[in-house]
Formats: sequence, structure tokens, C-alpha cells
Amino acid sequence: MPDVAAGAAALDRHLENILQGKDLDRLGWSRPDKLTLLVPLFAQRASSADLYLVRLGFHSYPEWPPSTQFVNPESLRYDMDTDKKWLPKIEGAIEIAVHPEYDHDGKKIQLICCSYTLEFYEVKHGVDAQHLWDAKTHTFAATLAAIRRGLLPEFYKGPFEPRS
Amino acid sequence: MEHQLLSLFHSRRDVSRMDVRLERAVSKKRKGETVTAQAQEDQGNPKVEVLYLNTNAEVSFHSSWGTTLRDIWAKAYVELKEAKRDNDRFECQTGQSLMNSLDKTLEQLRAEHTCQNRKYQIRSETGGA
Repeated sequence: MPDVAAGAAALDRHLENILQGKDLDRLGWSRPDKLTLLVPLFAQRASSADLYLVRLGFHSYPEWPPSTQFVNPESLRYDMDTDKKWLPKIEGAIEIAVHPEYDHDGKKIQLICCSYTLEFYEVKHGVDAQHLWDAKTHTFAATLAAIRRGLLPEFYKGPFEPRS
Repeated sequence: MEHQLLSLFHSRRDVSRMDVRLERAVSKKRKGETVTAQAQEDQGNPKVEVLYLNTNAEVSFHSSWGTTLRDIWAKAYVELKEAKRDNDRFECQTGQSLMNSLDKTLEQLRAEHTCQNRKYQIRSETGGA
């Protein structure tokens, strides 16, 4: 059983360190409950920037990385039939990929294929030892940094489906 | 949906406004600090900043123009009180990798206009795609 109290406490602690006195709302972040953080991220293209919303779940944190999903900013969920436009297409990055419909245990799920997300371990993805999540060192800042890297112009190719 | 997107954009705009206000509020103090920092640079002690992306902790310290990036990277771990991991990478905060420039000095990097603001970051490589 995940220790959700430990997850909430670790999020409190790490959030304080990361914000360094900044206000959550002012950054555009929100924490709808003790175990969830919503973080807007921008991906840069040649002529424009696209907004994405990442939902981080801390029920197994910090022993495991946060659950990490791109979500529809309105519903705060991901419906693979209608919400692919809220997923970034990342190509050419060897450290991260986004799968809108990943087959796992007979179900299809969104998978951010990166060793700093919980889902990566839930699907038992292969990984080198040096890339494993280290609960003693890493915080969710590392997860966000990995995603931000995937959203750099050299890797980001726009939303999976057009938004208009 | 558009309302929420606008809210997010407005939040970011508010952050920018807040930054401007803060900038103004501390400008007098900064002027004094700038003189000191500039004097230190003139004397050969450029300031460097290193962000540790695993935790978002940041350290800054003065170095010398003859110091290599490799030495700055090593000192950053000491200042951060962190241990180097095999898969760590040293980058400019723009995301540009500096792994091929580790033996260059700050003077050489300044001459070739590489990461001129001397704001660096340590990133741990992840497994994934």
C-alpha cells in the first residue's frame, strides 16, 4: 500500500524548497488536493508557444517518482478519444517520449516514457541502473526538468492533434 | 476551456508584473551590489550560478577567468552538498550541452560567446524513449 501521508509530507517539503518563497498561484501552479499538483508548461516552436498542463500525483512519492500525465486544462483529465491535442509530440529525444495510447495489461494508457515518472515503472519499462529514480536525490523538480527538456524546440513537434 | 487558458496566461503575466515591481523595489540595493560584483569581475572573479535540476537548488560563487568548466562543475557539487552521479550532465541554463567544453576556461568561453551569462545547470540523464 502506498504511504499517502508520506507522499503529502514530501510534497509539502519539496514544494517549499522549490518555490523558495514564491507563491504557487502566481506561478500558475495549483494544488487541488494534498497529493496533486498542476503545472502549466510552455513548448516553444519557431513562431509560437503551446501551453500544456501536467498533472503530478504524489501517492507513491518520494519512494517512486510522481505519477505524471498531460491533461486537458478544462477537465484536468486525459481522454484519449478527445484530448490528444493536449499532448506534445516529442521526437528525437533519447531520454523521453510521449505515447498517447500505450498498451499495458490489455488497456491503453497515456505514457510519458521517462524514468522520472511513476508510469514508466508501472509498465515495467526497461531501464539502465544509472537512470533509475533515486528517492534520496531526486525530487519532482527532476521530473519537470526532464519534461521541459523534451519541450525544447529541437525535440518538440507540436500537439499530437491540431487544436483548432 | 479558454477561460482557464486565459487564467494561466494571466497568472504568468502577473508573475512578470510582480517581477518588475520586485526589480524596481530592490534596484537601489542592487546598484550597490552591482558595483561590488563588477569590481570583483574586473579583478578577475567572475560570478557563476549553477542550478541543480534534480532538486531546483541553486548556488552561486565567484571563480576566476582561468578556471575550467570542469572545476566549476566540481565545486558546484561541494556547494550544493550533493554527490556527482555517473549520468549527470553540465549545461548552460538555455539547455545547451557543455559536455564538450569542460576543459575550456571561462575566458575561452567568453571569447567564443558560449553561455555568456555564466548561468549553468546540472541535469541527470533519464532513461526513456
